[in-house]
Amino acid sequence: MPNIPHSPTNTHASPFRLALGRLRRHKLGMLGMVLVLLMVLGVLLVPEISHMSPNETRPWIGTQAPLNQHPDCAVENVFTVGTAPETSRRPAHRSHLIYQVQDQTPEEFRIVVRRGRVHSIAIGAQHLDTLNLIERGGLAFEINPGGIAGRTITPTVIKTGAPPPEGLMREGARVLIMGITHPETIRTITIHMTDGRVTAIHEGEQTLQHISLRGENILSITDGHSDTPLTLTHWFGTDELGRDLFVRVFYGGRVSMLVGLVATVVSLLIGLLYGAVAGYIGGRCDRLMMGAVDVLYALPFLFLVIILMVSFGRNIIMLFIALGAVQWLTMARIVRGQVLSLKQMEFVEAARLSGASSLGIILRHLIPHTMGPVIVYTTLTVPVIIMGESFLAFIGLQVQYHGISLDSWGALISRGVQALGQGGEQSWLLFFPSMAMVLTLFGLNSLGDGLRDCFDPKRSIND
Amino acid sequence: MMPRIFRRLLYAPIVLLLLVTMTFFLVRLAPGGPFSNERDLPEEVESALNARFGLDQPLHIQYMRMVGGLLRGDLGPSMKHRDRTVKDIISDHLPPSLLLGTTAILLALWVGITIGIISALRANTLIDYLGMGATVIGISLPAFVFGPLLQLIFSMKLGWLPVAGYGNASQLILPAVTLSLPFAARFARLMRAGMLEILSEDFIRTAHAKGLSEFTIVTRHALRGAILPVISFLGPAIAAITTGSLIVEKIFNIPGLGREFVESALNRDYTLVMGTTLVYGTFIVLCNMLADLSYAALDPRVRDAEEVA
Repeated sequence: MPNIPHSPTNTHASPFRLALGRLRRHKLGMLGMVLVLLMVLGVLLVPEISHMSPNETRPWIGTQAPLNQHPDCAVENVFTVGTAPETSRRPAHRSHLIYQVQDQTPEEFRIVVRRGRVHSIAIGAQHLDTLNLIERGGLAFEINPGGIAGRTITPTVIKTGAPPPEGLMREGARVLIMGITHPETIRTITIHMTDGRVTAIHEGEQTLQHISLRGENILSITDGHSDTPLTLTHWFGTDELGRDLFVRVFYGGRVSMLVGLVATVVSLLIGLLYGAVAGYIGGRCDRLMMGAVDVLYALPFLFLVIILMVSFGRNIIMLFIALGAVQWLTMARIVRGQVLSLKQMEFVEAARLSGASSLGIILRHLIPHTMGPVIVYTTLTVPVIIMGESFLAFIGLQVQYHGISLDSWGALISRGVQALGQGGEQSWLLFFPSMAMVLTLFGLNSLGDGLRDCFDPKRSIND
Repeated sequence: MMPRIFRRLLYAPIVLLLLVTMTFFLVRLAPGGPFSNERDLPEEVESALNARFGLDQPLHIQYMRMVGGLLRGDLGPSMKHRDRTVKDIISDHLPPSLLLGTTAILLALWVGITIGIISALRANTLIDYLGMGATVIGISLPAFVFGPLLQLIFSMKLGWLPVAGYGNASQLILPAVTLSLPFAARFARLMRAGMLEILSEDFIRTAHAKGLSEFTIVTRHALRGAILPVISFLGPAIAAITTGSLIVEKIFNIPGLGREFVESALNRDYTLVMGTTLVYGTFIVLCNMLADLSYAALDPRVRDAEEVA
């Protein structure tokens, strides 16, 4: 090749290695690479080493601000002598556990809201005029139509005829049930375990064979050796179902990055092959193939993707194909342009004379030489696809896999926006997923820019 | 240049026919229909409704009817909004979208060109690095992050601007800023690159030698050539802003066409999906055509080379 850039220190280096050398001096590009590596590492490791899983709900804690702590337990904690304990990950591996339990009797109040005012308050058959949550003490929470406990309600006085506590009761909701808990006596339960099995359960003087503790009743857990209680810390807070946002952000990153990666590979494969074939054959075939690309290029694909996702049920495979199918067009154009100029070169002629097939020449000689621009464009495609998927998730079309909706960053951000409500109190639900996503996109875009500057010495830095 | 124009003109109807066909079959091949989700609908009523909108006909007849209607400029009645035609709905919801899009693109041009020029004049200084770093952030900040962020800061915490809605000028500020951000960033980068190239030309040195002020040189001499890349990106930018407005209209609760499209797709309102997609499609096809033509008109080098990445 006539125009290999010469470097005085390393005359035998390949253009590829020279480009990577230049990248090392490209500040923004390196920053981007470090960011991307950190995010990938976090997304791979955090869900593995965390004590929590992304879909583990703890309805009784509800939405909590970052750094909130509570006893490390599951919704139901079941201990039976001779079997493995059923509780959250960490306590199950201790040899000795002491639970402080305060039993709570939930009471259900039916509150009817009509035209923005409390219409009636009832417990059983009895009707009340006012309900003073401050005096009753304990925790009160809204129960969603599905029977799941929703947000906790700030202690306040609810009166008939007055507006309901702000933001807590859905407008137009007819029935709203609340559980109110009464503080009662505190019980202490000790559990002994060896080799992951329960050996003995004591409550005071009593010895039990089996006990089941509800998560919302547990006040504290200690392991008997130290006074520090076993707690879970929610670094990024929790959502309205008490799910840990820290784990959910990194798990959502898996979904986003997986979609970005797979759809990019789809677009890469189609684009490479299509562009190389068009460029290599040339002539009328090339004009026809590129004409088709031009026509497809002009289609507003995002609209079709939205219709596709609505019609065919948010299938993840469909999403890969849809997003990949949009992006291969540019890749095909880039590769074709490269191949057009490359095929005039002597090494292609030499390969043909030595009897290589057309396919062999395309795969072994032409495509490897287009790698520079292809790598650059691939790096810049990943953020575009991540954004595309999140765009869909934001308008309510998040992907599902076997009926479980996979909450990507876009879906988390969408929930965060809903949680902002009127006053923006629960802004962490928006802030953390947004930060994760923006940092990743910033990293990928900077890295792509850096690579482009480095593979194309004619362009100036930051161009 | 002429054959290129002709080819573009030939593509436009092909693209639109393809779009209409794909939309038609994608919407219809899925199980269910516009009336199958309404639970309380008796079976007779559903089949009567299907018959009224011609949904009981074989697919190819429906397709031919739809294409025939479109050729006559008849988009048909909406299937979900009772007693309203698709044309009425579109003419109601198009103005807010157009206003938002125009404001956003003007804002993006103004901010982008300003930042681009300043960065180019102070190339490789702290100002330049800050400016260019900001553009990468601008490109990496999706509207569905930036919009709610602006709402949180300027409406909820500071209380300066309304959270959402449509009707007066103050309600247009946040959505327009949100929508314009990625385009302002791209314009800034293109402007900076174009400016750097022009500033290294001989005639700029001559202008300096004549003793002209930097302001005059930039505005009178350099800007004219440096702005070309920005202008050629204008077409794709206007096309891309339509997709951006889908989200922004949702976030800021603006009664625009984008929201109508998303809702009609979710509601399986066949005729409204077709109408809104066709409006957007025609608009985008026009913008792409303009963009291609302006590439050719502005830069003779691009006219023959075909890879416009």
